[in-house]
Amino acid sequence: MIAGYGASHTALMIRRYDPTAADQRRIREAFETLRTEVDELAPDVVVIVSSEHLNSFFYDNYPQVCVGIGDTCTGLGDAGVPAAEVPLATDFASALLDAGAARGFDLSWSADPRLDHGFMAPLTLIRPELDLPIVPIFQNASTRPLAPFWRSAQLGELIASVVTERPEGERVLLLAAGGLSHWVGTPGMGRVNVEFDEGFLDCVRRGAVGELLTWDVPWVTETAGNGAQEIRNWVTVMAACPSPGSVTAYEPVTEWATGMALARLF
Amino acid sequence: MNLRLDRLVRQMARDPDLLRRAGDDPVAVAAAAGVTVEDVADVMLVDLAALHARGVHPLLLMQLAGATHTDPMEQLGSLPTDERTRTK
Repeated sequence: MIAGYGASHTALMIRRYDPTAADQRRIREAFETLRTEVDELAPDVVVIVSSEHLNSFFYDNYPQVCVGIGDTCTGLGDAGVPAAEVPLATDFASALLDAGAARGFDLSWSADPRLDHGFMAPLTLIRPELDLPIVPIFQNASTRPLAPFWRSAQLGELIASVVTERPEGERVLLLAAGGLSHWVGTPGMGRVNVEFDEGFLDCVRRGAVGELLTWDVPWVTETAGNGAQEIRNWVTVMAACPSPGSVTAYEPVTEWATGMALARLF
Repeated sequence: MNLRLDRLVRQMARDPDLLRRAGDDPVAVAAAAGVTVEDVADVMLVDLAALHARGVHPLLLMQLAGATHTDPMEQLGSLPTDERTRTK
């Protein structure tokens, strides 16, 4: 495992990007920094832990955690992001599914899944070439019942164990997408809770993933909005390699209705 | 969560023809979906606050807003821009 990153995503960050707004520009610059770092790290596989928005799945079959397999997947084309094709690292994904089943973490899987902006928006900014094989992991952050955060941490530990045990020895980069505070499709949309976000990022800086596991799921929604549940994706990546992180940027971008953060998590 | 209305909202966000039919014959669309005519009316009006009160999933409200070119923050945002980052 060569690195882990966290990056907020929002449907508005591409469609409503205003380069004259200093806060938005700083976030774009941070994505540029991340892009450069990823390029230099030259990963073989990028595992993206994100959350979809009732686009890829619906009530006929709604997974808590689902791994994408197959040769390629295609972006949904929502939120102003191109509906481009992305290669999948299906060998790694299969190994993850096998390891999960063997160790009591029975993951769902989906062949050639569609990826909405939750995956494609950050990926398009970080790797616009879309040439790196990815493993998309859909983690439910929107629809009851929501798992406690320790479950997200267990997922990270599982991913780490698979990386370590793979004989192929791929250079694997983990990317958490989503958060921080935001109210999506609920009254109060547009609010950002800076205090909550700073508290979360303080845990990121200290590598205090254990502290995050004590956070109560309903409290997070009440305090930081329903969209803040996506911090569980960051928890997954942090738990894969707990260590102090560094925050590249944080801006409460109210025009995007989201506390936007980018960080290196390990 | 409102299973029947959630299904209808998701369908209407994806199917312009259903949206048109709901305008022409809301009673038939409501009956087929197992919801009330008032539910259909709120969907047609893109009344996000009313639909939220009826339990429609917030992400489906976002999809409906996107499909109808409605700004959800105009309806659901309750605070002036300069106060949003100061809230706890």
